[in-house]
Amino acid sequence: MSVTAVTGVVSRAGALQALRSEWVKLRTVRSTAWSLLVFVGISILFTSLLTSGSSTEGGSPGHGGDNDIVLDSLAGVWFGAIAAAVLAVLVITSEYSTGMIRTTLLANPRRRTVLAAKTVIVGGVVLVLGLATSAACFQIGQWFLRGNGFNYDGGYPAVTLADHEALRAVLGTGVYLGLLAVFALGVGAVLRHTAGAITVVLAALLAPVIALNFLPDSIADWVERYCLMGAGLAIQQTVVRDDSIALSPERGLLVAAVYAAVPLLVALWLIGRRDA
Amino acid sequence: MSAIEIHGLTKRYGRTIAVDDLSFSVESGRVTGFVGPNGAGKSTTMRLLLGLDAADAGDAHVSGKRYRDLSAPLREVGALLDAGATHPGRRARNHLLWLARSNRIPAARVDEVLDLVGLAAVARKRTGGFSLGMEQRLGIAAAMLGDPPVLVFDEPVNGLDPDGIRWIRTFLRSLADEGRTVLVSSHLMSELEGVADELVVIGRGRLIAQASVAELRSASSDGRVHVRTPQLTEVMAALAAAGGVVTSTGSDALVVSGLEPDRIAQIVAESGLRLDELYRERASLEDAFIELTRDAVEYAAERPGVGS
Repeated sequence: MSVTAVTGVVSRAGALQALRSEWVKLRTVRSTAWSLLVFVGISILFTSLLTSGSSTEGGSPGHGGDNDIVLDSLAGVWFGAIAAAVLAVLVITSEYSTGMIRTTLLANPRRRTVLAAKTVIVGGVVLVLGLATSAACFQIGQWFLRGNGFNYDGGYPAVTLADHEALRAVLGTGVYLGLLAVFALGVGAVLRHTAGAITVVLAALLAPVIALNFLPDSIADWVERYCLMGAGLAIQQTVVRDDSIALSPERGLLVAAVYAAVPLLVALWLIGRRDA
Repeated sequence: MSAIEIHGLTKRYGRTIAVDDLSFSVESGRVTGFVGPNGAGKSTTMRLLLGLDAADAGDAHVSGKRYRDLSAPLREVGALLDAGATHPGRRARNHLLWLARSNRIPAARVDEVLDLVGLAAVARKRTGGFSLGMEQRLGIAAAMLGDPPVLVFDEPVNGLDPDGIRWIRTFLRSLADEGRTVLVSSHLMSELEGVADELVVIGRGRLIAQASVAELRSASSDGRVHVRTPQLTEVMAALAAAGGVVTSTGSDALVVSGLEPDRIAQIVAESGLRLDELYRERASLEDAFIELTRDAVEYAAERPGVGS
């Protein structure tokens, strides 16, 4: 048996090594492939269901409707996003539940580097796949909508990715998904407990939407505007109606970025202070 | 400079003191047993040494550095803490691969350590299906990945079958013989019998004793020699006349102290008597330890039989 020279190579367990290591971890468990498959599948499925079932009142080329057909085609992502968030939670909490985090920190005691590398890998993978899913949903959604009367004759000129606002919505949806993954991973790293972290992430996504029905209008508007999903998905808007209460697309994505940053910063602060 | 140096290490969890002003050092080329009952603070000490937990006071150095200051830790220290701490859905080889990547260790080394611990055949199996023995071997493979000069094993034989125990003991021995530093914890003194050269004994987070196994044995052994002979009375008289303290332990057996076995054989032969059996009593490591610390430790009175 030949013995590979392990010593002698000048090396350091640095940021690049942490990234490569986290990449191996992510791609070598089945839950990654499954969650991502569910994420893409649910997104496309719901976009197909929503757009194939929708109909237009019947406008004319001269008298266009005010449906946001870009937003409608991207709505499936709202559902698929949950699978991506769960994956991001599991990436960190499974290390705590199995005790593997100690092995991770033995291999690289620079804890913030490790957590940052994990964030880059998971956030990056969800971002890339999110962009692809978002684009796929857009194309599939437009195809169904065109068939359901959302076409030139019905007052809806064809929208493509060459249109600035449609492109912004599709790219922004991918960015929102990446930020959601970072948010979920941050919550997981703070709580270090799978069930607890998934509960918090789902609550952050869904509780405001449910609460809207019970809240007085003035508060409900504010919640709808600034809740994670409401703010992040403002980027999907291409039609601004008079009664629209959403943030502007850019500002909405910025709020989502704050959501992503807060738990991550807390986790980066905590990981150096807590016993592993 | 010793390979591992621990000075005044202290760790509290709430009101309990897990490690209490603990100091000891571990030399290279030897197997050092780290012994104490469950809850004595062995695992905590190891976690403090490896930078996983933060000490409240004192410090721990490996190769002259704090663990967190090691630039490529896996190349300097190999550690086995909790062998079951792997993702059950990840294949054994991939578990070692992410570790290798983290310290820029070539992937070829992964296959080498799998061979080394005898897991090459199950390299592509998911660790969730591994037996305790296989998990321990995988943990040892992980520790050996960076070919480190210092190895730290926490209870490596816990729960293993006799084959596994023998394998690990032989393996630990060979690591020390290669000149590496080996610190291995156990709550059973007997597990370290024949493997450890040096013992660090702790109880309730405090150092009870640090001694070489040879010292322990010579301190405890009072040199008793067992003799079996059909001519009990005559032999007893001859040995007593030569200055031995002789006690009969059966119709044909006696125990002598104060005389070495070769001298006893000579006296018996010169007296024209017959010997059927002659051997020196060897105290077990556990007996030796208990004897050494019998009066010294208040702890022993409260929890008798350290290591039992």
